[in-house]
Amino acid sequence: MLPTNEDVTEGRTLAELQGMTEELGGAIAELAAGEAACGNLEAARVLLEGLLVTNPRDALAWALLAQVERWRGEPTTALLAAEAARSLDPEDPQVRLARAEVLLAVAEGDGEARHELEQLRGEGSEVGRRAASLLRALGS
Amino acid sequence: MDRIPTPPFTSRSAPVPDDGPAAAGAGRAAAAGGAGRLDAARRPSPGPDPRVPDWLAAATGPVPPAWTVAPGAGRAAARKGGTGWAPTPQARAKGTAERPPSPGARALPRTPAPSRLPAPRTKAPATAEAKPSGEWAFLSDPNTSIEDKLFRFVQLVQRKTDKELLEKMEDYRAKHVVGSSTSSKSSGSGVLGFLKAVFPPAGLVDKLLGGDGGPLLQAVGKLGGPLLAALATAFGMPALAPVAMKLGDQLVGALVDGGSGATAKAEKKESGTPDERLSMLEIQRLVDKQNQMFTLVSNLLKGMHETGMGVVNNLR
Repeated sequence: MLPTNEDVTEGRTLAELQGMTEELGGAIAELAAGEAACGNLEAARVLLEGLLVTNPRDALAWALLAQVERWRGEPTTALLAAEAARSLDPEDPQVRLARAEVLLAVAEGDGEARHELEQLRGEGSEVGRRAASLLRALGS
Repeated sequence: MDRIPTPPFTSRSAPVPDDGPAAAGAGRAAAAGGAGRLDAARRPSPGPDPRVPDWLAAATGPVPPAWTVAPGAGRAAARKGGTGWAPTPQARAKGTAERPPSPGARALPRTPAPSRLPAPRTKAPATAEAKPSGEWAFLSDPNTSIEDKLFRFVQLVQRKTDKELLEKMEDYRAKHVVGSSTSSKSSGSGVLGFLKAVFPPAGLVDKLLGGDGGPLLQAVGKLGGPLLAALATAFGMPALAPVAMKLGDQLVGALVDGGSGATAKAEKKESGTPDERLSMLEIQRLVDKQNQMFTLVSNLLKGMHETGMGVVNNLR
């Protein structure tokens, strides 16, 4: 079933219209993450774009796309994706870290990135360790 | 297969302790929630080059670092406007009384389960049900020949199909001809204005990408229409998604071949958007249906005529 303009305007996602569950979306995102980890960035990008067209309200998929676009050497596209993720879920540590990493690659984004990493350093998870590691590397 | 070249090692600063691919994989798997997740440690991941410090991989090079967004962890934490996913069958089975239906859920009409008991017999006049009425009454007219019935049948079906065809053509004109004549005026500046409207008031476009928005337009062109529409939805403006879709498609058309943009545009105009092609296919289907019907009736009449002529010839 294709969404009508009315569906889109009212904020219904294709996933809702087609009955696509969160588990399935998560599995596709895992697949994309796996492809990215293997170095198949183009495949990961295609998977994530499809996933996001299906459900644009998935913050982690946007964050993952931001990361993949950064690895592809597309910082502007990465920034768009990171901002979309942040808009959806501004508190999620993974989203914040992905955005901070993108900001590091964008001109004039360094200060904001450092500030975000400082805040994330206290996180106990792998995100916190990664933030601390980046900050050490940046000399702060 | 897209292998990323590893940049040469440069020691501009003290190397950052690297967790290593195995530790990172284990951590990622743990973050992802354990069972049922893809085990990143088992993947043939290239992993970070031990000679490349973490900060270099993160900030400058396109080399995938050890850390990856774990899509499974905290997935349910989407806060704005619901998760966007359809409810699972288990959640649906729990009943909708506990929570209000999501905005995306469509209320399906409940059809009563078919009863196995035989329906009570009611005496209904069988002839009244079978007899067509109104404009189809000629079908039961005993004084009309089968040729006449066939002719009138075709006439009626033809009228109905013509009406449907006209509606489809009107629909096409309203959707694509009127829309494109107004939207064709919009250019790159229109897209930039749209992006400035969509993006947060922090002024991301001006602040990070420069006032002219050149890189931004290029990036949006690479995103394409559907993803730009998704972006508008992600920024809480689903009403702008259809506009974003059209602008994105136009921008892609313009950016695909910047030098010979005219040919790209001409091709784009000829092929049209998927929605436009779908409308045209629908019109084509209706015309094909009419043709098939004409052929069928023509063959039938021809066959009937030949049968009659055969009988007459035999009588001679």
